Amino acid sequence: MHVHLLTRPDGSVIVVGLAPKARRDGEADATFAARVLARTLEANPAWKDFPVVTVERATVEPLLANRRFRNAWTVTAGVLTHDMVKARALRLTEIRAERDRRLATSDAPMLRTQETGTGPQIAAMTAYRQQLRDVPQAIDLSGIATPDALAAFEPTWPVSP
Amino acid sequence: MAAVKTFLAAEVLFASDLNQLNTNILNNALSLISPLTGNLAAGDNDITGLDELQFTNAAADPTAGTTPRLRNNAGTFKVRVQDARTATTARPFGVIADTSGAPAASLGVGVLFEAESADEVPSSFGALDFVASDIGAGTEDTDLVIMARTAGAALAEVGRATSLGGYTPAANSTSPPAAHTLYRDNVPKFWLRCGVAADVTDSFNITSVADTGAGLVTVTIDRDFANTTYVVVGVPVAATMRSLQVDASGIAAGSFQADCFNGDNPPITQDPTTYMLAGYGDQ
Repeated sequence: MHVHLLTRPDGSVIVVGLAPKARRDGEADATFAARVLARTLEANPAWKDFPVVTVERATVEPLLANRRFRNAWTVTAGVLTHDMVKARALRLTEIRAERDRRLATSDAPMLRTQETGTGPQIAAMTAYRQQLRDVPQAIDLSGIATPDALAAFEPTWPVSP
Repeated sequence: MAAVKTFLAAEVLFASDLNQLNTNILNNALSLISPLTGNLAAGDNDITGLDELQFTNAAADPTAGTTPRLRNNAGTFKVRVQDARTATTARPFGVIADTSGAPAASLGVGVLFEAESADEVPSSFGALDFVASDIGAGTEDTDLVIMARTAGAALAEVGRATSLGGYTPAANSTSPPAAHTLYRDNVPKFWLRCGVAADVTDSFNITSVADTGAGLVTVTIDRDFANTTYVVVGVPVAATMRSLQVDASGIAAGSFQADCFNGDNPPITQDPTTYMLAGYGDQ
């Protein structure tokens, strides 16, 4: 079974999978794939000028199954791969989201500290929250070359006082 | 009557000759009364060995009483076949329609059903027609067309069983729809179960599924809807909170985009495990 890889102008990828039951009686794989592509482009005319690469699904299955950096997929020289610049940006977005979650979690302790804590306790909590805010800009992901390494990367998170 | 034997001089008449003459007469009884100019009363007896009853009156009006017909004044007219079959279907009654014209699609043969209504005049109640959708020699496709009468009008198609095994209701429902009834508008026009990576597990009337991003899928339908007012129903299958919405800007007659969101505030598009989708509307 084939899949079609369509590349948008921004380099991102649309993966078109064929519905097996759409195959006509006796239709060969290549004919089936071509007809499905034509029909898909007819129904989605905004895609009609996107470059298309058609490959056997099995050849891209490992990447298709790994969705961690799905929005960083790109087609380079006919091969589905990761755009590592986009992948790093996605990982940074994840880290910011985690930073925001930790900040939100510290809101209530910060308020309690301000109401009942001592000066040093307030200073420690304020410093902790600032360290959280500084985490993303302290990170340099440029040296990470693979999606797996990117997924495994964790910043050093400050510890709440 | 034509002579059946001419005796020559000195020829002897044998008993076998007489037997043969009598047999011919008995086996061809109908020939003795042809052409028939009055009623033929069989007197509760069988007519056997008949090869074909041939009518020459071609009057077309079934209510005028002139159409050739077989009539039974009471009970059920039955056609019986008796043979040694054990596990095959007998077809004791056949209907044949020959044509002298060039066959074309929509050529067919059917059975008309008539009965009296309140006006005491037999009228057409329905018909079962087999109609060719492909008339090519050796590639014939035929549909069974069910015809019925509505509001006293001429017979009209109410449904069609196609050669490919489908059934097509002929009309949308009226208000209120009959209970438990199949209409055009309550038939699901597509359904789909697919994964997130453009992998279709099972489907009906789906051409392709496009993975357009994390949590984003565009579905292309095999046979278009008639318009963009159709309804998509669906659920995302996932271990954690997900919600599914159809992108309002992504609805076309032949495709639509479904977006799957997570439970964050604000929600962001995120893959489910599986999409389950179905659609209803006009085609």
